[in-house]
Amino acid sequence: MSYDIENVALLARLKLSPEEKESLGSDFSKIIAYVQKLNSIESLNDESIEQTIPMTHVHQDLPGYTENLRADETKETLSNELALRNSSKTSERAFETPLIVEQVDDE
Amino acid sequence: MKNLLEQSAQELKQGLKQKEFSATELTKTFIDQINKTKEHNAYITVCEESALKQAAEADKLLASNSDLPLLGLPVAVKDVVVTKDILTTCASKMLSNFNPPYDSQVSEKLKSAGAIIIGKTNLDEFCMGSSGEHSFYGPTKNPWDIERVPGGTSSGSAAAVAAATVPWAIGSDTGGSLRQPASYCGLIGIKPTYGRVSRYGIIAYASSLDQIGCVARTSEDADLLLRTVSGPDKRDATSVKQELWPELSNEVQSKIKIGIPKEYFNSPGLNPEVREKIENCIKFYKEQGFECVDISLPNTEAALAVYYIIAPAEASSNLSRYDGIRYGYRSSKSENLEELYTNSRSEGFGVEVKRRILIGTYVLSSGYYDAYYRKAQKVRALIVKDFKEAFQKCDVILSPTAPTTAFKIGECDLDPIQMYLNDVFTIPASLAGLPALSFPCGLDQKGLPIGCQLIGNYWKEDQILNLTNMYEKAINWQKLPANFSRA
Repeated sequence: MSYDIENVALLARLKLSPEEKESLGSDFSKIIAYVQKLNSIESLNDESIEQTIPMTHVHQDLPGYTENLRADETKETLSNELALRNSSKTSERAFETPLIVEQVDDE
Repeated sequence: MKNLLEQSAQELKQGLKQKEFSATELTKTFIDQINKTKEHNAYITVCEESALKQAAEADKLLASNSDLPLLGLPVAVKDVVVTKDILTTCASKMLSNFNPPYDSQVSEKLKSAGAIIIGKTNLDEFCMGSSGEHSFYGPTKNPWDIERVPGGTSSGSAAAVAAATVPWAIGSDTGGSLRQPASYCGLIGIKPTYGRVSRYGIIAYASSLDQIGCVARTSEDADLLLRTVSGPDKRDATSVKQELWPELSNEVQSKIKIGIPKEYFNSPGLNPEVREKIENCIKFYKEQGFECVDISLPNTEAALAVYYIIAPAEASSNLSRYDGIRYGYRSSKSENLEELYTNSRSEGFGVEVKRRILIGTYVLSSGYYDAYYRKAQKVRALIVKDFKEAFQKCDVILSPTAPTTAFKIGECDLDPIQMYLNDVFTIPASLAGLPALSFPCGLDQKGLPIGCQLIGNYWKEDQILNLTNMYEKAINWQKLPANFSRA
């Protein structure tokens, strides 16, 4: 399968240096080639195998499984101050980001 | 009195109760040992001030005969566990300034049990690795041989216990990250059934695989620490309301059958010295009257490929939260939002993390999701089925933990697949969510520890702990490297 590492990096919001493109690109090929071995598993063609939803099979048989959900009630949450304390740019009780929408001059 | 550094947590607990020493003296002793063993680079943060404060509080409670389960006992905690007001970095530049505004359930439980958090231990960045070499804070070294790796990703937790800086430590295990370092460092390392321990406040890597567990030098310690942090949590929808396993018992039911999986023993990478020691374990259990039966786990060979699709996929999703805005590293050279995301992430993440994010992004991307991710989930279902069928024939499965003993720092640098193969025996139990542990079963000719793995059926932590306890009492393996005491 072909891939374009630049495109994958773009999707992942990563910028790779030329050295990284080469070394990560080569690792990437090795890993993808390795995982191709799944294609040789014949029993995969059996459509009766359902895709497992991760880990819920561990819980399904337990009594009270559906009780794992709580009522939709507001509970205690972080204060505004605590929520902001790890950001390096905040103002007026909010996180500050670069401009998202371009300013358009009135005509 | 036995040297405090050599005592198990249970022994220290008795000593504290009987006023042979105080929690403050104990904490100071361990902090001294941490300072003497700095070359191992096992700790990212040493919490000297807060630990001594906690020790002083513990001494007051001890004086009034409080019986909190971990009162006055220092514990080291892997830096993937969020601890309120204590720097939590996940060994990444991305979180090198993260001061958590809340506690994980694990930290809450440790504190309310009276434990003293003595430090946050080093790990492979964001729990991605198998050696302890991929940390923003530098590699951790194996106290048994400092030119070798301690294993990963719970590298610091294992090294901290093997260097006698603490009797036990909290770690996490996603594909073998507690069991493999335990194997390389001569310790017991246990990963519980998926859902036992809340993942609330555990920095996420692969959510369907991550579990908190611990490393310790005795079965009783491993049992006590794990049961203390276990329990359901409304803040983690994957945590389960399930009774704790029964107390450790010296009388293991001899009708437990031990399964020997042929695919593990036929693995080409299995080192002959490791094989020999594992075969000795099988002999030991047979001599104790246990029936050992041959079993097959036919999809074992596919497990590594399944893991290296699913785990990176989940990681790429989990790590998309790091945008430089709400917390974590923020790049200073960005003209717009897009650049802010890209620069912060590219400057903040290490190379193994980038590698896995790229793989994960690719296998989830349009046009490739069915070929890789969906296929891997189907094979995962087959692996789970293999174990379910095997557990019709046996109660516990025995295998090597790792194909080799600890390798030299830098040895696996050139080929990522070679690094990934270190987890070939531990990954299947993680994919299936089964409880599993590693215990020390001998040393190789270089004096390096070898680990034996026991995999239990869902919720049967007691069976694997009891079998370990039985072996431990009979064999009394060497608990620490010969040179651990740097007096």
